[in-house]
Amino acid sequence: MTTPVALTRAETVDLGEGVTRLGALVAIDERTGWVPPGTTGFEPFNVYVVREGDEALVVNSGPAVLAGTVLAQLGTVFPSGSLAVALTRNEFEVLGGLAGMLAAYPGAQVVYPGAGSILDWVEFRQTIAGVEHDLRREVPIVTHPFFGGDFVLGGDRKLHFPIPPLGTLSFAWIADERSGALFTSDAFGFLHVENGEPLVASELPARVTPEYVAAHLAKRFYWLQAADRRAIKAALGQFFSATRARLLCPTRGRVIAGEATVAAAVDLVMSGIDLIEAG
Amino acid sequence: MTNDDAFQSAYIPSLRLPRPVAGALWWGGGCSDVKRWGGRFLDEPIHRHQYCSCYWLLGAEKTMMVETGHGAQWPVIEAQIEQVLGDRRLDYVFPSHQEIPHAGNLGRILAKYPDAVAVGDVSDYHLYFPGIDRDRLVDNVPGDRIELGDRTVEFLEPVWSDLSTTLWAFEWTDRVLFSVDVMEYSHLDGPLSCGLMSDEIELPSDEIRKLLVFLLQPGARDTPMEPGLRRLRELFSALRPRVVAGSHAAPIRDNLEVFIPWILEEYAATGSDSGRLGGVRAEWSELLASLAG
Repeated sequence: MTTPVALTRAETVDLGEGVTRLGALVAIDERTGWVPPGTTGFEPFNVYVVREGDEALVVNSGPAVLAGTVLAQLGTVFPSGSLAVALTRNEFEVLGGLAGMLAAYPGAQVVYPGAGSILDWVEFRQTIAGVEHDLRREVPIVTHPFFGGDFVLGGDRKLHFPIPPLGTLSFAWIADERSGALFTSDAFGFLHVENGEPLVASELPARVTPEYVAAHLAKRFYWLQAADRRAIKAALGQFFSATRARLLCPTRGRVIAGEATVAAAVDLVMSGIDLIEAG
Repeated sequence: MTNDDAFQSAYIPSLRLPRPVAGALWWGGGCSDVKRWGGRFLDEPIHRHQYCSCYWLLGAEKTMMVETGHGAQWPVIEAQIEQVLGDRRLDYVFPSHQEIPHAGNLGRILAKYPDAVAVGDVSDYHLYFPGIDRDRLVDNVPGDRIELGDRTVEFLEPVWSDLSTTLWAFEWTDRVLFSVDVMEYSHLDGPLSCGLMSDEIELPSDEIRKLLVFLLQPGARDTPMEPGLRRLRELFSALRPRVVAGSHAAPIRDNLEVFIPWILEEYAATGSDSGRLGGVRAEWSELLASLAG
């Protein structure tokens, strides 16, 4: 018998300047592959919407278990208009809701660099208003923003797509200058929810030490064990010297808010990288 | 890139698949035409296909599918499974890690074969395939073995990998190493090129090798390759594989001592120690020739 995965705290969170977080929490347990053993609490899965007039950019679409929830939330935040869905990776946890979103928003486009021909990877046959559609034939793929380009929303709102200085399988981070939001894909996802903590962290809990962050980095960014970490740290340092981020918005984990808290999180990652055991 | 009436899927079947490889091992899946991915892939100087491979082990008592085939190719994969299994049931399906080219059909396979269970590191699949009964996700760690009757499959720690949850495997009777993303290679586009194994094609030239062989590990350029090559050498010396069955490769069989050194020489040129690693190809040719003896 199938036991449904329990989703809790399905919340939309207004992050300001037209940026909204969609998603819910799932329990962290022994089957959770991206955290160190022994991690407890709940993991926020996050999909973000950036709205500008009657246009919106959605950042990733969440895992399949959240697809219906996220689509309903999106409908309340952006009931209609010109939708684009940007994908920072092509993993299960960001693709699960894509087909449903594209079916729900006629004329939607996908912002994706091309790797693998992404619409083949999802349920591309969709029935829309009783008519069968093949999304692969109908949905435009926008590739140009990747590797340092921009996507323009609503005429003049620029979202920049830098190469991630830290990522496993991620093609892009996305930086929204207007809100100061930096969508970091699989990076900076080390803050889980415990004891009813808010989804947005304006300060880092005491339990989040460099050792704690190192353990998380060693799981998702396991390759750091053998890599030249000076190069990675240099890239991170250079990135955050040049980029003023007021929000770190990961695919998983609590949103990190405030310039000082963002800086503290970056410092923790830098320290954590040094603490990862060589392997 | 926009879609139009000229749309062609990037995922193309091979008329040669599925086909037997050696002993109880069968090869299936298909190819992905990289030019049809769009974006910067349109600018690649060659026209290549990425293999999207899956395998079956038909043991005397039980069967196992290794990888689920690419999620984009389900109709093809479904037909292949039926052809390979015939009247037999599917007992185990081992997706090597949580990526759509490897595990994309897991939900469909477990729905089609209600007696099958998923094995390997089965983290997170309950989130990606919410309809799967969690009792059918059986977790394994390196060293665990699964008996198929006259075949034994052992899970292995990978040498290089995409994700920290990746597992390799080794089948002890036919000595098949399932190397997942390692020892992968693309093949050049051509009407007759899909579905051929390493001993059925001409080894591509060294000049285009860097366009066909990639080490699919994050951070590879900042990582020394020597430790991984050393661990791979130890693994080969211990296991003495006769077939290397990669997930983005055709099976390498009967000419391991030619093909694998060619691939690993490219790996040696990939990492942060590329200027210091010489002689990898000759070293591995010698090693594999000695292991085959």
